[in-house]
Amino acid sequence: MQKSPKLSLVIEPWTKEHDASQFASDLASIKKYIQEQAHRDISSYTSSVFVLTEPGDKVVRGYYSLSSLSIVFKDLPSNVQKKLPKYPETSGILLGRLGVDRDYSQKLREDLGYKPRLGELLLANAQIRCLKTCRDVGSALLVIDAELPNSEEQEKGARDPLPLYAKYGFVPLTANPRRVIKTMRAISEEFKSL
Amino acid sequence: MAVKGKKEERIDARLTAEAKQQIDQAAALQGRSTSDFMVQAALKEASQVIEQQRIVRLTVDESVALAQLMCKEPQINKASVEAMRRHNKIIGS
Repeated sequence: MQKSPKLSLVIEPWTKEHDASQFASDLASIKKYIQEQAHRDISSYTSSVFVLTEPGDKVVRGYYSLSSLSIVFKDLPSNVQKKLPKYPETSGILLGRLGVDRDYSQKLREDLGYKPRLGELLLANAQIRCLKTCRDVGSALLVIDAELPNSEEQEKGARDPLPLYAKYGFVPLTANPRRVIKTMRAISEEFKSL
Repeated sequence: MAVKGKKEERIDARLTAEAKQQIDQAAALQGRSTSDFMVQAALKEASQVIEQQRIVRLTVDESVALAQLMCKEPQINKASVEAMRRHNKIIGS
């Protein structure tokens, strides 16, 4: 690997001091959420939002949102039930949105000479954060809803995030192929192996 | 808030003298009884909490798939481990 300028960034809870007014994304919903809805969700405790910034400044370069999810199992046929532990219900954390400022990402890529992979950093941060949160509230799953960019957004260069999540061990399990899941046990094993 | 024809329930709440004084004061400012004020405030909070709790109801197939995933030995994903390593070098907060 080539020696490159050292990258140093911060991911912290969103506050009113953070500025997302210049946030650029090919995905309209990603831009709209951080600029218009995030503050409302945070003040009503519907979601938590964590933002990526440079040390010492408050400009939002990327973010993700987390909220709680309750998963209710269907009563299983007794022949199946025998082979499985009974889970009437379990809880999960939903990673509802994850986005990176397109212009910042491009600029960083030019400065560094390689892809900064900011989305990967945010996802790693979300996994570690959820693992730590679990010690307090207990949650068995991390669930991601991977929104498919519409055709217009794809033309502009927005890519489907689903293959990225698959790469990091998230699998679709429900009838909704856009919803992917990873167990907190798997995240915990990965974290322990560091 | 007596409701005719409906059986009324009671809730006893323990709180500090300061907290009670503050609630009494807030209720008085709105010209409501402390009891009414507390019930309405708690109801507002409760409906918010319930609304936030998003619920996913699984089908039989989905339940089986998820139960199987949850009880099998967790797989370590190398790309994810590498991402966490890189994360720990770059992110300090």
